[in-house]
Amino acid sequence: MSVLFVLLIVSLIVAMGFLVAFIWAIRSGQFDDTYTPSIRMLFEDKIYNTNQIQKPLRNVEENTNAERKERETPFSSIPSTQSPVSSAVPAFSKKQTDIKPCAETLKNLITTIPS
Amino acid sequence: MAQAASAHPSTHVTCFHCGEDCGSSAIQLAEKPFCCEGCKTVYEILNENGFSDYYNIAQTPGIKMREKKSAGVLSYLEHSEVVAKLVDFQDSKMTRITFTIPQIHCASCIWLLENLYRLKPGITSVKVNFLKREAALAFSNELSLRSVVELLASIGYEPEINLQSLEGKTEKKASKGFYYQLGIAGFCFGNIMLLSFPEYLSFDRYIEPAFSRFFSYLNLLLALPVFFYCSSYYFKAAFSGLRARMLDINVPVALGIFVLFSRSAYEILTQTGAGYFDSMAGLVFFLLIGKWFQNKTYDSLSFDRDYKSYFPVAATRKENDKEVSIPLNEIKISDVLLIRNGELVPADAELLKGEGQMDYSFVTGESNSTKINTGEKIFAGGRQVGGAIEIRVLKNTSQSYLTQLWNQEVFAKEHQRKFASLINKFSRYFTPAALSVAVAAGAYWLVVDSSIAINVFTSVLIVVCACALALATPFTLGNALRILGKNSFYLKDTSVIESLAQTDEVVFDKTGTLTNAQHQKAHFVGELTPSEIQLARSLVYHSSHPLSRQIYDSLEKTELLPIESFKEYSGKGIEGVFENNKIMLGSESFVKGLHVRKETEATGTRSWLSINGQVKGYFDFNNHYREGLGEVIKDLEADYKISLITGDSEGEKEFLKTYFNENNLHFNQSPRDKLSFIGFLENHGKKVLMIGDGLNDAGALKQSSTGISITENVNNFSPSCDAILDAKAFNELPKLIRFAKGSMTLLKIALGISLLYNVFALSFAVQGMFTPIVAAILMPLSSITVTAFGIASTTLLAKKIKLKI
Repeated sequence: MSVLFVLLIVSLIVAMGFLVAFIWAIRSGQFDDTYTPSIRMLFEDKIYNTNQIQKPLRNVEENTNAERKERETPFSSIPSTQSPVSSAVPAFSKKQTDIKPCAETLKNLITTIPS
Repeated sequence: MAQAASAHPSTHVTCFHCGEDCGSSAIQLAEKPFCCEGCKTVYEILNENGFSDYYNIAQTPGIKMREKKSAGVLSYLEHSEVVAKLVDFQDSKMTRITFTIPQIHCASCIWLLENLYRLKPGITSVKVNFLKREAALAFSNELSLRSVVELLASIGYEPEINLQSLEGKTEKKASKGFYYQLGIAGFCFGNIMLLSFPEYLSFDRYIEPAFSRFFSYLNLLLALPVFFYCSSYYFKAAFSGLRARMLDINVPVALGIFVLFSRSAYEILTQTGAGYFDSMAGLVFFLLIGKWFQNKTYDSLSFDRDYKSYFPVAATRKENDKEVSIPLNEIKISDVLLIRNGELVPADAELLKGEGQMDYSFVTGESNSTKINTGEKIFAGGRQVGGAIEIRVLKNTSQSYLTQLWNQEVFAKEHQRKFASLINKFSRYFTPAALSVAVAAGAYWLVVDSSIAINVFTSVLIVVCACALALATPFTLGNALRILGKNSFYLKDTSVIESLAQTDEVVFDKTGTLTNAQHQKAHFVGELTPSEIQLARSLVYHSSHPLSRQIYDSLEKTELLPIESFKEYSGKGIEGVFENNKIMLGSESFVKGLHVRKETEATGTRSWLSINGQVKGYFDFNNHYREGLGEVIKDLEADYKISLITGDSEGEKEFLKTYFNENNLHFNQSPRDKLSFIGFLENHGKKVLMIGDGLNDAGALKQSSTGISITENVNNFSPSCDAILDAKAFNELPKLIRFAKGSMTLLKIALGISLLYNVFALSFAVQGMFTPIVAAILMPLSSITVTAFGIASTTLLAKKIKLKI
């Protein structure tokens, strides 16, 4: 039964570990904003290559040269809100085709915007 | 690129970007309709750069940009001192800044802003905090701050930069410390309870003394952080209360915690008992949860806005014919400033050059703009409607007539209100009573059997002071606060519920409070044929002036005709041509082409209409009163005396007499008059509830016991107040006040329940039978009962009054 001493100490240390993790999470700002990450994680991750014209991915065999990943992920419920209380609005998914990002046009456009 | 709509049937074409009605002059691009150049431009920028996802994530996520800013407006961002005050961090390579962007309203906005680094090389990262409507940017110094702000403005997300932004952000470090306390208290509470179980369940004889000593020392160790760190708030509050000779509720709570700790520590160190650390940790933990529950903040709202949130950062000064942008605090007396159309006058000044047309609606409550002649005085806070004017400054911004109103002490009011709260009034009698019972019991036992005298003395103190009394207010009123928030009525803190429940009289402002400034109806005085109505409506569609929009909304929906040669003369009117018909709309002198006497102009805002030189009549602008106003007033009149004070003239008196008692109508009240009116009532012991909306009500709102600011959009500016009411909840106002009153009754019942527990536990304590196990049962039981009652009863009350929960 004297093992109880050891057991208790060890379990307290483990529990302390969780407490430390909790404090660490607060310090690194995890609880500063609890709402935006829920929306942010539903965005698609796309890798954009500004030099290539993108081809829509149809077959896996044609995939080898394309540097861009495409995933069709229907967005289920992304909240759109105008008040402190949020409500869910369903959105639709759309496949990206024919995107031609071009650094030159964007620079021109930015400088010629009437302000 | 605009295609004249020739024979389109009247379909409702909505803009792909912002969702507004395009009418019949939709601009087409890539088979998508847009309502204006602005929306189309933003679409072009986004589409060219692979940002089409913006339109996929949320429907019509854009916002129509209404005003065209002139180029010089942002030049103040080039001042290094302004930049230094605005940025969070800046070194030789990069800059970090946090912008407030009220236009953030959906997931697309977040997506677009966080992907901004792809749009403009130089921007490193953007992180959005949706609830606070903030975006934290990091960009390299190859970009100037001005270019970043202009970029954001070009896509429709112009940051809000006003004088308040220069003051720096209030640090949120305090709340982090609170979470640490909560976490540590919870951790220690759980473990102490676990370690105390053998003590409860055993019968002392069966447990090895080595174990029981081990457990009790562990308990002592775990209780140390709870006592020294987690309950520090209560000790500090109790000391400051005592120093100010105020016996608020923190005093008995601090006393209870102290006695609990010292008695338990003594018992454990002398091995005469197991101590009450579980009760102590439990109490502190529950208290902290109550504090957290009660302090739910609304991130994007601010109850403490003063004039600084309203004024811009810089003004344009004319120095020897050069226009220089200077920060507001550098404005000196006799400076000559240039004020453009739509800009705010930053300081009391006199008009030097140009046609002054001042919109003081937010400041003095007058809904019509006033014409200012050269040499006349202009007050700070007025907005110029018309061409650019030059003014000479008479007083500094902070010395102006309006900003003087803000120099009232608001801190004193809040402090007073907190102290006068029910629970603090209660504790003023409670604490001495508790102490005397403890002393009496102790004295009794000192005589009869002195060995348990100390035991009884401390037990009584523990029972009476460290009890659920302090939990009643946070949970009951905290839940009430949350329910009110769900009903679009946002209170600053729980003490506002108490002052709301004590109201005797209700005072309303008129402009913006009882009237909905954005939905005014225009009605035409004169005769118009349907084709003429169509011409007028087609003309006003092209103007973004608020009066034009009101005319547009008030006329019947017709097909819009294409107008050529549209011209807008700011401050005068608009004109256009359709199929050789010349249409003119505007001020009387503009339309009639002659100089009109001032008296005719002063009888109210009128927009005259002429077609082909023939004057057809004018549009008169009625105030649009909020729907349900009659019921609200009738409901409130049953319980309170209602008055109306307004800066407007007596023009609406006849209409208002149907709702209010004639003696309670006060017109032509300046902001100072409003303040003294409320002050007079308050000094005579009345508790006044003031409902207003603009800067002109600021002083009155502060002076009253409870000040409610009503607003169409809760993210917009509203003056310093105790509560913010969303305009759409205006009809619920009587119900909300009734709910506040009911919550106070429930609070009193909750206090009663807690007192019952006290009395019950006292019976154990005075007999010296208040053992740790009794404490361990009674204290959590009373805490949970009071908490559950507080939350459940207020929720049921809300259901009964038919509020949303």
